Amino acid sequence: MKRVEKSSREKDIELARKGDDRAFSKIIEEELAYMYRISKSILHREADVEDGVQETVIKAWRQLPTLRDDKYFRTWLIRILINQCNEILRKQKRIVLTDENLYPSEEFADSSDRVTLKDAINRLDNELRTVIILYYFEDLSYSEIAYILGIPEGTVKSRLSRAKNRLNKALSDRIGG
Amino acid sequence: MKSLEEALRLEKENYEKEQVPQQLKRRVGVVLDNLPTQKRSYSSWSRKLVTAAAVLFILSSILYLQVPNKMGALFKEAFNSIPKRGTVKDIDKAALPVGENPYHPVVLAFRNLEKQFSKVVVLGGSKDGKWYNITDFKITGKYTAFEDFPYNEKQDFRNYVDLDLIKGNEVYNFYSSRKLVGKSKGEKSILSVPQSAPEKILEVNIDSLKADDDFLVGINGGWNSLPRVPLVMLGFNGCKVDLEGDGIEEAVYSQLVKGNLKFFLEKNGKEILIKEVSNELVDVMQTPKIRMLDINGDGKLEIIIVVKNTYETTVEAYQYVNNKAEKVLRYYVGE
Repeated sequence: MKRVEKSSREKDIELARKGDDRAFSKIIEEELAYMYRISKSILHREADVEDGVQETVIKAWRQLPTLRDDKYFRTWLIRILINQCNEILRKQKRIVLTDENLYPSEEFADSSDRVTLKDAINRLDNELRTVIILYYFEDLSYSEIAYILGIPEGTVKSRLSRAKNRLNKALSDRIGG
Repeated sequence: MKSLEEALRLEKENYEKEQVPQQLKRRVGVVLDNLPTQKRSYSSWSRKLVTAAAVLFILSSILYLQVPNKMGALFKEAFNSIPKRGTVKDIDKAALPVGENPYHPVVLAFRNLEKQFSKVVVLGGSKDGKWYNITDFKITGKYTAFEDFPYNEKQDFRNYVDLDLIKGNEVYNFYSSRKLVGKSKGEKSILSVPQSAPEKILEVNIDSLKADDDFLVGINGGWNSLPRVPLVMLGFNGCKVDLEGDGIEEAVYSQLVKGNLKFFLEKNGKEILIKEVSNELVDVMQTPKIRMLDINGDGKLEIIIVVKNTYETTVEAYQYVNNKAEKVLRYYVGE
């Protein structure tokens, strides 16, 4: 059963690569939640997230013929998405993240660990936050993250280590305070 | 106290619960419905095949030019038997040969009640980089009073006129805001003069075309009029695209300012006013349309603005040069 699903998806990617817009639409609809979550974790503001995802869909369609191996479609798509999100961040340096627009007030009322962890993740530098999201939330391997971010695997590991240190510190500061 | 790894695992569950907002689904849906033509990449085998064909063609050309004998005649016959480019589709067979009309007319198509496009009005055209409005041409032939037009569009009513801009049999590429919708061949033009308006209106019957959009722009020219596809700016009426091809996007949008309708162009955060419509016309106005297309083949996109109310329709084309929007073509019909 699992094998059939895989081949069906690969078939869609192959068709899309040959210019079949229906197959491409099907794949994008499947990947939309995935793209939204990653984009949201980088950009936060819904309008920017929408811009990022929309531009990514268009770029992916245009660049799809250059995809060499269909099995890397998802990592290839995330790479485009993250580049696009970073481009938006560069253009809009005016973005100021405040507690108010990151979390609804009712979430603050619940002072559980997860809110604090989410807060700490969002306060990480973009490059550290991205590796945490990709490794822990999207279950990607070091090599996949390295490809997506265009950095060596060693850098992925060191960023992950730095990110975890900062998260640990943020959590212990909170408990200590 | 939970370990960080465990806390991250718990946080992942919340992360995965994030739902895609309907707004994003709609926006991506629009993009997927209007995907531009994909640039193809060719496999190494395809490249080899194309290279071999090119080499064969060059060798044949050399032989054809240098051997004026029976062999040359054979090559000539063989070449003549190869279908010329653009003769594949029936529509192109009857088309005016490329280069026959040095002008590139631009026409406007508003969808009729049968949800088809069968008649267009002429906005103007271009030749060698110069713009031409209808008033720039000498028109010979009988005009047709507006009230003489038959109510049934299909009725044979062809009181043609002659002018250099439209010779008849031109094939128009019709574009919506984001894509090439189709091609249609036009006849010669009919000159109509509305009952109470001094403006001349040139109409052209075209081979019927079906499309979901209610307004299309037709261009007679061999270039792609959407080299860069505008993105619709949700939330307000406008779209953005790199007009000049310099890598910087321009946004064009309309806004109501103190009751007047204003059209703005924004580049690098700097805003310029393109057009303003006074408030007495705004009350009954329908949503204005903005199109961005290369209508003269120079690789830069022009801005087409359609303002329509119950009593009149104005369509204007602007070119963006030196940080100014300059009006180049105008169509107006009113009572």
